[in-house]
Amino acid sequence: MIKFIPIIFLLTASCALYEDNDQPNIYFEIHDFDILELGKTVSDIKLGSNSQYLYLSDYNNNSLLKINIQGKMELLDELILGSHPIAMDLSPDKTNLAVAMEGESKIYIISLADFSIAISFSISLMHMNDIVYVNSHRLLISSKTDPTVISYDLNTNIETSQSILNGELVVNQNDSIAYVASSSSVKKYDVSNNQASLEPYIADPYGFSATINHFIISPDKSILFLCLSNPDNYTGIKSVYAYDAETLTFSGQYKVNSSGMGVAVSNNNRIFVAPTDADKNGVFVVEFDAQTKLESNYYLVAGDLKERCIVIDQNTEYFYVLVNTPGDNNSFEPYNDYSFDLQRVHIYD
Amino acid sequence: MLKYSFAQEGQISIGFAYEHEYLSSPIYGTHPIPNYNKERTDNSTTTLILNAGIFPNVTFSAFIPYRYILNEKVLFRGQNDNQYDGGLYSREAYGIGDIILQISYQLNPIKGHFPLLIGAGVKLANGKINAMDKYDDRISDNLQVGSGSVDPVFSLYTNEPIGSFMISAGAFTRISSRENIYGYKYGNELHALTNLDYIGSDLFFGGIQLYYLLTTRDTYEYGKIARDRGGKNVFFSTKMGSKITDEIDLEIILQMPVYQNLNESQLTSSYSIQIGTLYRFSL
Repeated sequence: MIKFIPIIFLLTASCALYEDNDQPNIYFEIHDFDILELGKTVSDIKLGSNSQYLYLSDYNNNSLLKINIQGKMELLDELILGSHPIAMDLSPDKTNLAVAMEGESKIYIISLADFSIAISFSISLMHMNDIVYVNSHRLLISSKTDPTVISYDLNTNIETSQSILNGELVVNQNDSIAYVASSSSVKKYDVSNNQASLEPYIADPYGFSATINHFIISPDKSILFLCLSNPDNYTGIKSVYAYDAETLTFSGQYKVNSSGMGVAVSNNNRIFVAPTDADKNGVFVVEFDAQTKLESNYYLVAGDLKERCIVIDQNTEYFYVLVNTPGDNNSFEPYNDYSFDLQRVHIYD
Repeated sequence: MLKYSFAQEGQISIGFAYEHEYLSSPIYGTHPIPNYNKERTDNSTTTLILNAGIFPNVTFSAFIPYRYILNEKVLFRGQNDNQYDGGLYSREAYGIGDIILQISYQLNPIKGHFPLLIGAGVKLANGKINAMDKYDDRISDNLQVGSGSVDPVFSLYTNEPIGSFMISAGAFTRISSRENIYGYKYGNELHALTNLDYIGSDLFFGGIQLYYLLTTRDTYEYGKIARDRGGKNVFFSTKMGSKITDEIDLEIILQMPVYQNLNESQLTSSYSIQIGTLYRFSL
């Protein structure tokens, strides 16, 4: 029996050869993707009140989509609008949605109570680009081709040309301040009166003619987040930039190794950036810590992401992104390519 | 290959084994996950098997594999610097893989029953490990036909006829000895299998097999632990074969996974197919 002891010892010791005692750093996990297949080319996305519905502007199909996001995601309704809806904004009381068209000089106000067109009206701008509520009855609208922004009063139906440069718009409704991310820099305007006036703070120019992918303000109205790209050098911009909303100085730079496609900030100041490029392991939405300004979590998503198309629910439980999955674009329908689906991603606690 | 690695004294055997698997189903741990890159790998190996029984109870064996590996996936935008806009990306490697040389010794610890075949040998480092993609970038190590390191291998095999049936069991292990020239080191492998075969007919035979595969994680240079490598697998196989003549066997094995617990996410195959043949003759 004693002569078997060394053999038993050797066999036992050799088991260690098949143990993975060292584990790699696990930066991300993969779960089943929660995807609502839409096959749409979406230009903007807004979250309704109480995080119950999502509203998506369907650029190719000239319509507005209403998506239920409580429980299983499903398409509830589709409302035909005008030519190529490009941008949307929720009214301050969250009851209406203003939709700007790229293909016609018309604005639609959608009543969210019954998901119908409440009013529509024509304006002088062509190739509209962005629309925001200044207050419950006043809109700011920008275009890609007209040099200046206009305001439109819903009570008086009067359009006023503003001395605001065109670009992506953000409004702090509490202080009647508008921010514009133009192709050259970020500017700040006082919009408390009918005629906007430029505030003394102007951010430094980018140094190139930029394409603005997304421009938002944090829920506490203190920080502006800007996703921009350089059309002459697609790989040149590798970060999302944050500006102090008061002084328009830099307050952070969030590196994702490519231009930001979209950015969202939760009510508890968690920052989520959707990059343009995939990592070698896949496409990730990157969460940053507001204090350290460093990555805190990575969320694998199902495909290439879309400008503007990331939102977070009010409880910071999920974020929603539009994804274009490779290999999913085979369609016999003519001109139907780059179709996006809606993905819901659970946010780590 | 274990059952193919013995020849009586004065006997030579030559055989071929072909194995093909199509890996397209990713698993994270034990759960299936979406194949978001539409990635798939065709993995084929044709092995030339040579056995020579030169001394009583001693067999010299050589296993010479020819491997073909094709990996395809649809890239996301920016996922590969050479193909910024994404699209189909293929990687291919083929050639003679690492040759295994082995000496087996047959023991008979229980007289007339359960002969024990104990083998020891080396896996050579002859397989090429520098296959390139179409952009002349070296493709990843686990898609190369060789491993780049000389490793010891050990095996154990026994069988026992019971009426018209033959039960057999065996184990094979490869211990990774060192990193290859690129700093990559494969994890250790332990294969264990048990078979129940029907041998009552002079013409046909068939059976079932339970096969356990345990692999540990690979490591990169300086011991950095690789993600997505290693895990535990249990496969169930059905086998069918024919004794074409007294000297020639032909066997087909269809193998399916019944349990897989893999480290992080890995591509798996829902089945693999193996075809083996062996021709025996005396000098």
